[in-house]
Amino acid sequence: MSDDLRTRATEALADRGLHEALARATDRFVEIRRAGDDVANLDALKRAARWQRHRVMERLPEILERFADAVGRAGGVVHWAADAAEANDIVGDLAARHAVRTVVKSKSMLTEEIGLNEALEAVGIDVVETDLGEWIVQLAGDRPSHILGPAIHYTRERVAELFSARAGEELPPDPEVLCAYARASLRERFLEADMGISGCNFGVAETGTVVLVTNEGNGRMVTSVPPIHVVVMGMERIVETWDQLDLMMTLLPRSATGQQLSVYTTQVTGPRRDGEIDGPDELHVVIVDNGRSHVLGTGAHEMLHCIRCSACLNVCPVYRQIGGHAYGSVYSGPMGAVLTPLLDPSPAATELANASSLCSACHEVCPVGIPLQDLLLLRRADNAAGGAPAAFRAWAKVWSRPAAYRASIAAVQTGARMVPDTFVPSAWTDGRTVPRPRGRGSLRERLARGEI
Amino acid sequence: MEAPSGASNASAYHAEMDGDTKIPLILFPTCVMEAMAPAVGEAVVRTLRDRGFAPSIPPDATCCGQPAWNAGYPEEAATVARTTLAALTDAPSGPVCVPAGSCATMMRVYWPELFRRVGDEEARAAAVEIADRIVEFTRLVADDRRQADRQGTVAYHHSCHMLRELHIHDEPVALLTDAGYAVADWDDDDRCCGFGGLFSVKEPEISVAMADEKIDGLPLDGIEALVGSDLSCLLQLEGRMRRRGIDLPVRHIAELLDPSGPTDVR
Amino acid sequence: MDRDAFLARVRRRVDLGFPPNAAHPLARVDDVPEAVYTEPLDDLVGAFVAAVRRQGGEPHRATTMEALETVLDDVLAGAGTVAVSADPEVALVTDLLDDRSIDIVHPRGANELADVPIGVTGAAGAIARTGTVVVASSRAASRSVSLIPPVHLALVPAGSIVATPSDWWRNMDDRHPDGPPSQLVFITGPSKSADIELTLTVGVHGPKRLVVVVWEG
Repeated sequence: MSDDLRTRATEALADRGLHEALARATDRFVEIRRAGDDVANLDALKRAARWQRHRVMERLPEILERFADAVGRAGGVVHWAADAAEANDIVGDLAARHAVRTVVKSKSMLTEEIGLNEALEAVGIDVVETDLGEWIVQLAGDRPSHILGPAIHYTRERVAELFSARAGEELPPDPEVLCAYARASLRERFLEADMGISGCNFGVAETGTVVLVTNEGNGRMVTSVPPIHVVVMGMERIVETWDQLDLMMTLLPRSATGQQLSVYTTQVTGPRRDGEIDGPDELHVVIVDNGRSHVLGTGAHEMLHCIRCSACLNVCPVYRQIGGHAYGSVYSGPMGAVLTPLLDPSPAATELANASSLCSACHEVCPVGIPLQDLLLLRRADNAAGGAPAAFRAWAKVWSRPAAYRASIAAVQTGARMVPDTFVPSAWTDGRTVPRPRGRGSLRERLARGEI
Repeated sequence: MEAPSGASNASAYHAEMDGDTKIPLILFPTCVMEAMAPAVGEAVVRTLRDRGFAPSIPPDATCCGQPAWNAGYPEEAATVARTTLAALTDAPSGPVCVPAGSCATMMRVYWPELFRRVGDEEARAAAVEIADRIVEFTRLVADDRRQADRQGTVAYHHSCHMLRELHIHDEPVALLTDAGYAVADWDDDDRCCGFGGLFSVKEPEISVAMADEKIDGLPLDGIEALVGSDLSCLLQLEGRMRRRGIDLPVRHIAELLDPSGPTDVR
Repeated sequence: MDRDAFLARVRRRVDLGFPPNAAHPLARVDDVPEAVYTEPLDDLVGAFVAAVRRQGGEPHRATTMEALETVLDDVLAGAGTVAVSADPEVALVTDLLDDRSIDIVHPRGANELADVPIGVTGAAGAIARTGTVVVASSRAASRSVSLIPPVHLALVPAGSIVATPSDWWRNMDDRHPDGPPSQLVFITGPSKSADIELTLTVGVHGPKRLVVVVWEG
């Protein structure tokens, strides 16, 4: 991660085109989510979902075992990866064993998190992102800026430039034409790929099923066409029963894109079976920890409930201003500001707790009721674990003594009247003018004396 | 999404009224109001009296502790909050009126968590005990709707904590329209102003950009004032507008409800 | 990391407990509730057809072979080849295809579908609320007939339509007595993307057209 949050944010703010793209995209996301509101008991479902996610976490080891056993019974192979390096090694070994040259991928933020593409490319494997947005970002040598719409920071003109350069001919900035080009180009890659890699929206433990949600169909291609399918799955992306899956699937598409269901809900239980003409010969499920288990047992444990719908990004007024890249992480917006330092508590990551005005809009929309604002507060407290600065210690001393408090209020009022722009930090007055106090004197004394 | 919290018991309090007897009420004035806007505090007092309450301010109440809590210093926040909690606990029973949604949220929603976090069980229990008595100003006043014919068109800013933590949305708008004011459509009226306490100092560029987008969305030609219920947000928006040379009046809602206030917005 | 070590690490952390949140406390909810919809649903077939249309699909109802022929001719539009799945519903159209001298491909792999313009499948069922066609590899024997050709024609027996996704997912044992198939896919409209400026485009990877015939014969 380069620079600090404030530097990255300032750069993003200077990019007016970026701001327009973000405002348009997030407004549109919010608008389509409202349009999908056909369920009468949504609040009850959200409360239940919070509880069910908690129930899963309480029994996570048992549920993972049950899932793994069921995957095995269906003919799949489960691998356990403690961290990013192990996960990448597991996938790399599988690729080597099968002499894989080309990998097609459907969108997976976890593989971005662990740097799987880079690891495979380092050993000479051609890795092709097939989600349209991911492909755009990959062709540009860029990073996703939104967990659901990786390329929402791109205009159609920029996409046309990228595709034209690849096609060797001028393509117009028309989404229809650009999509058709992507379809044709990626279709070849699907048919020649030796391995498909997908993420996992939910594992269902009782049957060992991997559930994938996509709209384009690339998730289906990745799980249907190549001879090997590798699922890279965060260990928390699991439910125990189909009842729970139903509850989650009522909430996920509605919160993500305002759909009742995504176009394709693909439910994979094991590899191709006898008599089936297609589907992979091998199914591998790589269950990844990579810092997740350390979130359990902390006050931030509810972050593992996240189902990656991105609703919190779309309503976040800070994300709206600075976009995903300014967070310097695969995960952005409120969920990213909380999750990133949980997985990697570096100073650059922990600083993300400041990327919030604590407006609670994220909590309001979260389908599983994660109190994101409280988790941001918790992180701020962790960041300050070394002790409060002298100014706050002095403040606490003075404002815990009523007489001293009253005196300081009088002093602030006088300061604000006499020297308004020098009694608050310059970071505030650089962009704002301190308003003059309205009225004069001590409210409480005047009330006590009957002067009001 | 959650069950509404911060519901006032003012109807019950009113039921106890006997003729001209006023209901005793504790006013928690907030540090920002005391320091930066005692005149708004006077409007709050007069409005409450007009609705049948007899407000008093406990002399030992200071601040709710929110600045330190939001900055990540729970110990310091608890030190200050304990003082105020004790002052309120010692005061007579009855509603505790807070004319700022943010402070009301700190006291009602976050005090129990704050004291739990610092391991002060006695204060935590006291905070849980007093939580139901803490009522944000507009919710309390809206229990007693009054029609009037004041003049003017305003834009209303929904403060975040008031809206999303206390679930107060309709009350302030109803109070304004009851009083005769027109409330203009404003697309961004429920988006954060960018204040966020220390956020406005630590990330000033983002904070100002957030304020700017709100201000840019204001229907400036059709309104005579920007109104809100939380002075902190109003300081942010007013501070930014003044810097940009926009001289739209900014008012706390109590100033527009004040029975002895002017009959038009200005 | 081996399985036992992985799970032991998770268990150690779970055993630390789950600190409460007094500001927004977690509340126990005893059941796993289903969605309650704002609009009533009386007529499964009618609702299904309306939902397919809303999702951008092309729904038809057919009670007679003549009606089925009309839809088929419209979909074929001069095409000389179709690929078919092993779903039993496909038998409804094989004679009609033969009559028209259409080349019927029974693919043995996804690669054989690259240039086929139309894929015809049956359906394990359908979902009225959402306009969803359910295709199961256990009966279709193919994942890609409904995926790779640019047109997907799905034949849905009217009696297989259920009201909601919950009706499917909460009755998995009844719907799939031998356990879930290797691939169960809920298809809700044609392939869509909004990755360029959130502008909706159709047919990115999956079919551009989803034609659904509800067979009521």
